Amino acid sequence: MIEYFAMGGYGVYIWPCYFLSFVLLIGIGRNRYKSVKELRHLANAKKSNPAVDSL
Amino acid sequence: MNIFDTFANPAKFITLSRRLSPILLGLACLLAFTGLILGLFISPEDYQQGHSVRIMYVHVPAAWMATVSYTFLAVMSAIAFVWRHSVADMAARAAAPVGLIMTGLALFTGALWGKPTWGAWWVWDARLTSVLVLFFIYLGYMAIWDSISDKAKAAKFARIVALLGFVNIPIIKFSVDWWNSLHQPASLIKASGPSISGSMLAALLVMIAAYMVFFFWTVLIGTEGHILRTRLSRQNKKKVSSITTIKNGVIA
Repeated sequence: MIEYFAMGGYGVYIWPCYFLSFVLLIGIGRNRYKSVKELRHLANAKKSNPAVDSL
Repeated sequence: MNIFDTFANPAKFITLSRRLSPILLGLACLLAFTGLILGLFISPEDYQQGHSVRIMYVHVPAAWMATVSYTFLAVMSAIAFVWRHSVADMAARAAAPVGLIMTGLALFTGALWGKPTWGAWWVWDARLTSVLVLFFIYLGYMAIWDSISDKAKAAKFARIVALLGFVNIPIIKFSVDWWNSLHQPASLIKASGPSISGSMLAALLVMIAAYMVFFFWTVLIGTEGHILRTRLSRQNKKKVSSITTIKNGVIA
């Protein structure tokens, strides 16, 4: 296991690449999804009840 | 029904986005999972670069998507410029942060791949420098949208910057052919076919597909987000202006 993560001495270069790619891509995806979900909810609420205040 | 109408009509676009986005997200996850298994466990190490070649499976897709995202952004800006489709502007705007992240990742993973292979984190050669310029073009494009409060004016400036910035894309692509570079020339798209072994190529193509589908998913929901935000803000403005009219009426 340790040998696998060491990647023949290149682990120190490889894992930060995968880690940052994973964090940034998941981050922007999660952010977008959360934001659009809230907006959909707000738009639906306004549609069903035009008195809902979104200000 | 014309497909162009679906993308240009905000209401139809929202329906499309709600139907298509879960499929794209599922597909992106499946492709990424398969690509990671292939890239980290099944593909062999390189006879010269050893295991460091595994950086390729995150570096090349990010670098590809950096230019594909910008091409998409420029095409959307051109459509908005010619046909005045606001959804095209919103799609271009939604693509910019994803493109910026892809470019940042290409630069970061490139530096980490460069150190063990070239012996340097960074060199000021044409490929690396033109990708760094792309990073700043993305930043500039996003800054225009964020800094100009009049969105019609911001859209106009943003379209012009997007189209001017497109000049950098062929420079990135052909920089390794036009100038001496430490960066290797194209090894996927070339007349004689890809010069990568089969198992490495499979992992790389699956990861590129994963990044591509992920990009279109984020752009789809990002554009939907911009449409909904614009709608809600218009409704709020109408509400405020009607309240003001009533108040003015009372005062008058």
